[in-house]
Amino acid sequence: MSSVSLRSLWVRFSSPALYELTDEQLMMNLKDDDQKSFCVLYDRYKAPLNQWISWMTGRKAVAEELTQDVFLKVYQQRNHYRPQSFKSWIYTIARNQARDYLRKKQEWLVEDERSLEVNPVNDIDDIAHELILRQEEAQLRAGIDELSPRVREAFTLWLADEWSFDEIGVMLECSGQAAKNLVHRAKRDLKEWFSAGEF
Amino acid sequence: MKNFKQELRKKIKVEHDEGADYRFWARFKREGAKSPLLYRAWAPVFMILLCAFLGVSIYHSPEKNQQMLTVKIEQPSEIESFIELDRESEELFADLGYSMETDDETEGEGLYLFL
Repeated sequence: MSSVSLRSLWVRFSSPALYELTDEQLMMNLKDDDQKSFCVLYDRYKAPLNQWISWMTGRKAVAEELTQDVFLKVYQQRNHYRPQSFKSWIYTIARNQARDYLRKKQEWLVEDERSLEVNPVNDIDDIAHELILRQEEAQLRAGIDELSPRVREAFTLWLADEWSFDEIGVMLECSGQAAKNLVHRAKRDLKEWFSAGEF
Repeated sequence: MKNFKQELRKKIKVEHDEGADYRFWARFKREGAKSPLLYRAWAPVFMILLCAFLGVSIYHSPEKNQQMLTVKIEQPSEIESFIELDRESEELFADLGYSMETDDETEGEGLYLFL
């Protein structure tokens, strides 16, 4: 069960209709300074964003602070929002926050895009899936941490929410096929890492 | 594929900390309101307060006080009243035929004005 603050409870009782609106409609309300709409957006995205940032950075404590930064940015930049997918917009802000953090920690490396485009994609076999799932939580986290930043970004986006490869491609500024390659590569790297017992 | 994704997600799920909401809203209260919009809304208020402060400061500046003269008006009924006149008013009273002399009590800074 997700946690509910007093503020959320107050919004749920005073304006239940807001929970029926789409993200984009709520953003339009927020542009008119409707803080209740902001509260609804916060309730919707706090958990998935926190989870994704945690996977991206590999640190739970950092993820909370970065998630807060993301929502503050959403509020402060509400007037710059143009009608578009809110999910993509907020995840782009989150990605930039995570990248800034990783860059400061010098963990961010630029990937060679060409090497990703030419890799053929074969669906990874069930044995690999089973091998990955057999790992303990800590090992899985360590394995994801070992992925190169861009591969990790694609893989965690794929894992975090119901993203299509095309949507992931838009987020990562590459084609849908390239995004699929990145996810495939993540599974392959994890399989190799766990097979080699590097944990 | 779907099962793999769900299973993996379940294994490394990050639970949302209950205290995180309270920490966020506290921070939002501190920092979130610092939007340019709010600054713009407060700008006229700050300007009015600034103008009022400057106006009061100038009115009560020492330079202004030096120009003010204390004038004591002695009326036939022996009722005395004191008013402060600037130099322009002093000349105006002189033109009207009032005689004035320096008030000893104020060490030359004031004038007597006789009706």
